[in-house]
Amino acid sequence: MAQRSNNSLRIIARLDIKNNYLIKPIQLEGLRKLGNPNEYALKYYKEGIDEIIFSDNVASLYKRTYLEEIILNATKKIFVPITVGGGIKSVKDVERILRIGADKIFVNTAAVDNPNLIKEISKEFGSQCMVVSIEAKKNDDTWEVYTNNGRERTFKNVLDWIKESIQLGAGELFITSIDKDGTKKGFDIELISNANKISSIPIIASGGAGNSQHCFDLLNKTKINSLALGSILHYNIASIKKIKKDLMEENFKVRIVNE
Amino acid sequence: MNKKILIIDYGIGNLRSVYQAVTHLGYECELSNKKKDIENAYKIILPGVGAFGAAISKLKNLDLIHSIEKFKNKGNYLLGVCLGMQLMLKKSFEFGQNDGLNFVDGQVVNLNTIVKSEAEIPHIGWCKLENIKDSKNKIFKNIENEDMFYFIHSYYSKIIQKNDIEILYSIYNDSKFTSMFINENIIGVQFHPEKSGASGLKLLYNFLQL
Repeated sequence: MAQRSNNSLRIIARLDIKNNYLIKPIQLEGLRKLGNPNEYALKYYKEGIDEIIFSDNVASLYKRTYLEEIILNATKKIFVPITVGGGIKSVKDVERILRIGADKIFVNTAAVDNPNLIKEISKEFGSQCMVVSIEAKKNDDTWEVYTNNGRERTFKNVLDWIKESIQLGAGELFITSIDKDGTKKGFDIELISNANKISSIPIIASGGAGNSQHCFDLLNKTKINSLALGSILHYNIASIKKIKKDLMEENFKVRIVNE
Repeated sequence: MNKKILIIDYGIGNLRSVYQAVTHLGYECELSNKKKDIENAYKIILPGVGAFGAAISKLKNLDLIHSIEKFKNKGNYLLGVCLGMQLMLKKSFEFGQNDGLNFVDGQVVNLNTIVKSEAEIPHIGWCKLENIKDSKNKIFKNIENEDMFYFIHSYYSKIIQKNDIEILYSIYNDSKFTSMFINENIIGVQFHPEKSGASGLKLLYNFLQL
């Protein structure tokens, strides 16, 4: 494997939302309510998070979105990139979400149903804001794409879907391991490593981070730069400062925010 | 004099983030695509994301190019952000050739012409301004070597005629690229100061104070 580049890592907070609550599912299921997502997001911003992802967990199931007010509030006080997804089905939906202040959007279910949506969105707004979210689960020896928050099988192979997404104009991949999500037992290194080998665009790895060692393990075995953290932050297992300090001590480059 | 900050609203990009950041810093700002507002503005921010060709067409269709030139020639400050920076160059090679505003002699070219083949494009991430300590410009007041800024781009500004232009560079996958230029009252930043946390806000504040 070629040497890891000298770029700075992106440590990203993943906030799953149901209605106006921050929730933390396990394997994308179950709905433990944790509190006000704007309060959590602002706290993470102040502690030095590099980016924030808001994922609306019920939007695609019930075909509605509660996210707008949360995004509007967030953009008044938070000055790092904000990525939003969940229930986005059309170019019109994207326009609305970007207009109220999101920087990037991610699409999962609607893109699987209609892959051309990736092309339409990246053509209209640029591939830099078109993130393809992939919910991956290992069945037998391959990873399968799931939709609707891990509820529905698609029988699509994750690696094939990655190639197709890139061809269609995706600017970034947000890959969640359904098996590892919420378990705090470490990232799915095999999944991310295989994805990394075939991807020419940046990958955000999501699902399973429970401590700093899990981050080192993934970073040492892949060349990705971006990690999404959920439980570890929401349950205050470790602060962003602590995780970044640990990463720095392992000689990874991170952005340090001085107060 | 009206000291409002004008953000050019030409139907492209996420203007709201820039608007929020300027407001957060205690400055009044307005969005406009009217020629008169632009020609009489005190200070202008030209934002932009997406494709060069589409953006320059929108400026042309709104007949704003001459107004932006007129504003620039008065010597007032103009800040181009991301695609807004690239629009100020002479030419772009993003999806065919397009002419830009030509405030700076340079070309917009793909990052793949300078980075190693395995580098991911778009470049999304945080970088330092490597040669910031060489600059005495007031726009860098209180900004240290270690401050990092948020980038998201596939193309960069290759400056051809460098005389009298201050150029800052950053590094992606061991390759240097232009992350900022200052040509008297014309300033371009490839990164998003409105999305670069406290560092970005400092730089934006310094611009507002110029």
